[in-house]
Amino acid sequence: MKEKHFILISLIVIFLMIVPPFMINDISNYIYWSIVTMLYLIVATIYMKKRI
Amino acid sequence: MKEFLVSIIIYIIIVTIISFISLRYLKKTSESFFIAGREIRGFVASLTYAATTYSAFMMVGLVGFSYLTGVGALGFELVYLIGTIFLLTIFGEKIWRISKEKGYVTPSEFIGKEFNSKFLSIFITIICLISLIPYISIQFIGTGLLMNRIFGIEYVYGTLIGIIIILITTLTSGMRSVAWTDTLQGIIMLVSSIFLIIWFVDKFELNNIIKGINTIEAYAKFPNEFWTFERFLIFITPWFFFAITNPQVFQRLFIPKDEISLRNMITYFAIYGFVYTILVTFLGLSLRGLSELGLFESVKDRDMVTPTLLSVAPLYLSILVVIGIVSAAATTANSILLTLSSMLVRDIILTLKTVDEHKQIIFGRIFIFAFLPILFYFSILRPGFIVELAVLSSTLLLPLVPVVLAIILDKKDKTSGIIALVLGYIFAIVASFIKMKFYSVMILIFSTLLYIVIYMIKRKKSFK
Repeated sequence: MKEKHFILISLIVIFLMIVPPFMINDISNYIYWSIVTMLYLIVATIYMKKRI
Repeated sequence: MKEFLVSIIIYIIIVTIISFISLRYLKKTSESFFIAGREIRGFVASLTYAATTYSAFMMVGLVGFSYLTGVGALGFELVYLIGTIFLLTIFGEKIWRISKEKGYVTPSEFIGKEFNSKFLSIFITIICLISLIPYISIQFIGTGLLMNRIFGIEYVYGTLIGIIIILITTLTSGMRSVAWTDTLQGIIMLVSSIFLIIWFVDKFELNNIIKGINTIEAYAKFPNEFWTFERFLIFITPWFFFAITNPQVFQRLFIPKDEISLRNMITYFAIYGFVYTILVTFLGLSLRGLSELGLFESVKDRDMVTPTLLSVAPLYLSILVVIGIVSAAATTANSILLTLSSMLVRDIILTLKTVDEHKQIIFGRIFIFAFLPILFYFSILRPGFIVELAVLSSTLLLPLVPVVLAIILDKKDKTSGIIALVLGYIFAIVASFIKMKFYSVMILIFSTLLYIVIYMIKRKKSFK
């Protein structure tokens, strides 16, 4: 994964963290936010292992 | 109360022993005192990063915040975590490498020297001082409130206990003693919250907790009365950039021993941050549900939610959690104090006159000592709510974003940096106080655009 790919994924994740929750509009946002964050942290860790 | 006092004394003794052991490794250089000679390994670096970031705000402020405002509190806190991991993954190594190669000790020194501007170093030191005083004082407010509610200790004495711990950990060997004690305290913070959740689920039963959350439909919604789109953006913007605007965490990027330590620091912090955030917000949301069912006392003051819960918890657990919260408060406050004192020494004193390395450490200790009465006075005043104060501190530091990014992206220009920072800061103060619409977003856009426009104009002129 190149840096530009990681930045693109990050931007998509930031969008996913901000916009869809306003449409979900109930307590399931708790699970939604947790899953998106967890997946992003896994991707970031994999990317970092290759980069640093 | 007696059991708590015995426990806190034992805790202070342990912290003191660790601090004095770390003293053996202190060399007589400012680099050794302020950033532990850049010799901290991944595990300790990650826990000092986590303990510095996650303050009394989490277990006191965020539990109450989730209780009062609903599920949006989790989103706000997780966007912070994602922002931090994003910035550290992309820029962490570059910041670490530049600081190591050029011998920078403080964030303001990093920015000032990269822009070749003493003014920038001094100005950043001053704005950090102004912006972070409320942030440190809320640490003492949190601990004071807690000890008062649970153990009946007078608020003033509760804040004094926090100050004693800070004095011990910062004055001994600076960053090394802070990092080592942060490690212990970071573990206490996480372990105590895990024990609290286990007891909580056992006492109130999972069925009741789920039933409670489902009962409070309006409050569980997002958006709701509190979490509008505007407010959500206002809250998340400063926290997203926290890692590069707040000097106490920025300086922690200078301390890892090597690249692997840096990588481990970021990875372990990500895991810690995720687990801690989930636990804390789960507690706040569940308590609200239980209040609606009448199984938990209804609490009006959100900073009192955690103290109210602990007042019905078993004594040993309350003591452990309160020590965890005192740890969280102390580790954040001591890190900020150490960073601010390093900035005063390196960016103000050294600009005025030549001071040898040993004297820099003495000055650093004097500044730490001198700060405490001011902070104590501030915490006695108890200004505002804990969360608003924490957000305000980071909001006022937002104009630092374009300046730091310009260094990393190699788009430095002294004039652009000075104008964007000075005007951006003035704009930040005005926008925060008049509560301009989307004010934190506006501050970020204003200072970034200002930097870009001046940079482009100057580049155009230099081409001519």
